[in-house]
Amino acid sequence: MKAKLVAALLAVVGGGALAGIALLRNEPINSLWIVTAAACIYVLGYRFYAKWIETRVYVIDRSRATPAERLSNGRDFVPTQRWVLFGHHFAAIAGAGPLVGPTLAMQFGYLPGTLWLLVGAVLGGCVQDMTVLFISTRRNGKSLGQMARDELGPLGGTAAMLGTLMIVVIVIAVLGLVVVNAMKHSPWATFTVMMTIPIALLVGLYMRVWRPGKVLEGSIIGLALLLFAVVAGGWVANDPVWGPRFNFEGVSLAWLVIAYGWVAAILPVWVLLAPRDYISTFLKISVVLLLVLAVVAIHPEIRMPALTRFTDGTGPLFAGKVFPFVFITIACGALSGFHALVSSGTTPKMVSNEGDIRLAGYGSMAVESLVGIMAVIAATLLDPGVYFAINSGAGVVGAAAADAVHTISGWGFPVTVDQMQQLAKSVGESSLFARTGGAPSLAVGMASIFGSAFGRGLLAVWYHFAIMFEAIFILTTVDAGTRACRFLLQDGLGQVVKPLGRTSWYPSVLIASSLVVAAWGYFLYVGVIDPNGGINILWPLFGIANQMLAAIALSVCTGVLIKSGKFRYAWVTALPLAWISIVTSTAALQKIFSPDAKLGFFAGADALAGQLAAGSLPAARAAVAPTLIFNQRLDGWLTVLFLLLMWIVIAEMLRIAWRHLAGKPVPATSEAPRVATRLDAVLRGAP
Amino acid sequence: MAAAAYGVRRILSGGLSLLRGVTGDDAYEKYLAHMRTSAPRATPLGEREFFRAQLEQKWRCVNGCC
Repeated sequence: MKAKLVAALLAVVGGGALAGIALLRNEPINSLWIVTAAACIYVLGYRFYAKWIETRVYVIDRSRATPAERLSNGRDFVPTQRWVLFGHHFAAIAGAGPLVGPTLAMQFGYLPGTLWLLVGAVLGGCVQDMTVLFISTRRNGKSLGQMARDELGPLGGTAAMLGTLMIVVIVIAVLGLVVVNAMKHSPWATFTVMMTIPIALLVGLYMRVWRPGKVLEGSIIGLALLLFAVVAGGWVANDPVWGPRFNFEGVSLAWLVIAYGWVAAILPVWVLLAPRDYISTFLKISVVLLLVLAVVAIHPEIRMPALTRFTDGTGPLFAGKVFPFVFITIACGALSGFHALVSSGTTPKMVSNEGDIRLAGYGSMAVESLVGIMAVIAATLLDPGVYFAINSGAGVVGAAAADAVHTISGWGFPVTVDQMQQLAKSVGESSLFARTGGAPSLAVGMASIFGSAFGRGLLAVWYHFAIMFEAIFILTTVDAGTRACRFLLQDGLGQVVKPLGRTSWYPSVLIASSLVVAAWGYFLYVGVIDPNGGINILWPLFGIANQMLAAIALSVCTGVLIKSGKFRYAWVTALPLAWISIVTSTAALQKIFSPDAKLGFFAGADALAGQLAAGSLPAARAAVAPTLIFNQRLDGWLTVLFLLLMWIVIAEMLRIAWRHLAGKPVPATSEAPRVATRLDAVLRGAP
Repeated sequence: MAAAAYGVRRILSGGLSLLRGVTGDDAYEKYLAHMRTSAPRATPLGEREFFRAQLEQKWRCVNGCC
């Protein structure tokens, strides 16, 4: 009775807030509406939908021993207290993605992105993460690729593996581009981000040599040093001698990131990778808490309109209409295939009871969606003119400040050169025009939130703190992703040339690492030399790849549900699958076949080739044109491949489902047999 | 007053143990506890070796997101 009352209250408050967001037009709304609607929707989703799925669809068994108990080895298979499991899983899924995607999607106005974050998470992303975690826990913590092979057969399995390898490459490239664009011509940001390397080395030594395994101590020391590096960056940037030494062009920074990625991938993990990941986990949890508190405390007004004129597909950040591109642009935060890799990675080996899967799988994703909502608020509290001036590439609005403000003001988003200079000065930068990639505008938004909450005098420090915050995740993705890809590739190469499969054989390490770094380094380099900012091409490609992986994961989930005799409940994952496959296919087909040079990859390549042949390009652009033309065609073919991989897996799932329903033989379930748990419920901290 | 102090202490120690769990600070203690119950006669790894092996194994797969 009490539960029903609370639910009714939540539904009324959440529904009212949502209606307010959707219906209040022509007057600015307060961000508190959005936060309220989000909180109510997550709680309702978690309390009722997830609970229903857990009891009726999965039919979880609290008396069944999990792999963490049965295979317990005190190392990776460790029964873990439920809130620790939640924290661990959240830290693993949350990165720069939910911050960058929603920021970019705000070119359509705040409404489409916000609705997709809420609905996509509650009905799609959270369900995907939780279901993958559940089926992997039932299968001794197997990875998504293995489960695809076991449950759908070798074709589906190979497609899933290939998809995984490619998406990691694209993720590293696009996030690398975000961090390069944030550091470009910014000595303060460059110094601070570079300092994360010696700090990580020091913390690595601390945890290895001086105080082995003392992760918390090391992290706190690292965090203190990082905060100092943020402040020190200001001194360095203002120094007449040292400032210019940290002022780099985009291309130089791209090479530095590439070199860094290569070195980090071949070094032992304790040197650089592990310590930075520890610091970043610590930072992530504290900043997310701080951000939510600050937003609730100052609840800024949203200045961006609900919908902008760019829903028609002419947006300056990236081309394409609001359908399907808002669903491609926002992956992390709503529905992200990448999470399926994490949910079938370390987390299922730590679940101590099936009753904890809802909190870790569904709950963590709901919090990640909330992080996306925070990014929405940070982007939309800026004047829309400022938002577009920061995020539009020079090739779109003009390289000169006067041209840019003229174009943007002409769209109906007034902004002045003076206003932009004032803003740049207040955050300690020389210019904020054409800082594409989403990180700088997010940092301006975050700085203004933190500045209002904890003191405006420190705006420049907060800005660079936000940049460092994003960069530290991204660099962790760069080296951890390169390493993970290296192992995947070594595994694949080992099938062909035996010794290359030996993961610690140095020639194999060097070859595989170099191949992986060359792959993402290529996309990063092309993105940096692209006068339109690069993000406009790379982010949609990343979105399509990520949603393709989501479709693969949801196919595996749907196949498993049907095979285990739950056909009538299979819509739980089949509906998000249907939606995301429609969205991804529409976006992919538009990127392949659109005759619009801004939207279609091949059309863009052809248009540029035409201009090059006619000699109508300025010398600087003509020099990079052949690379850009090749790259757009390559991106086009990659999109074709992603589309094929996705439909192969979906078709395999449908085939297996049809065979199962028709009573024909299908691959046997790989579920581990039931063993009764012997863990004490009190000891594991269950409610 | 004493009850309040007790409450605050409990919240703080709960928060600390949560943080230690999430960051992996208590991994070695968990390992020792595991070894004590499941293989009491085997000699467990030293803290240094354990931490070393732990890192190697953790970073072999995709365990972080974008």
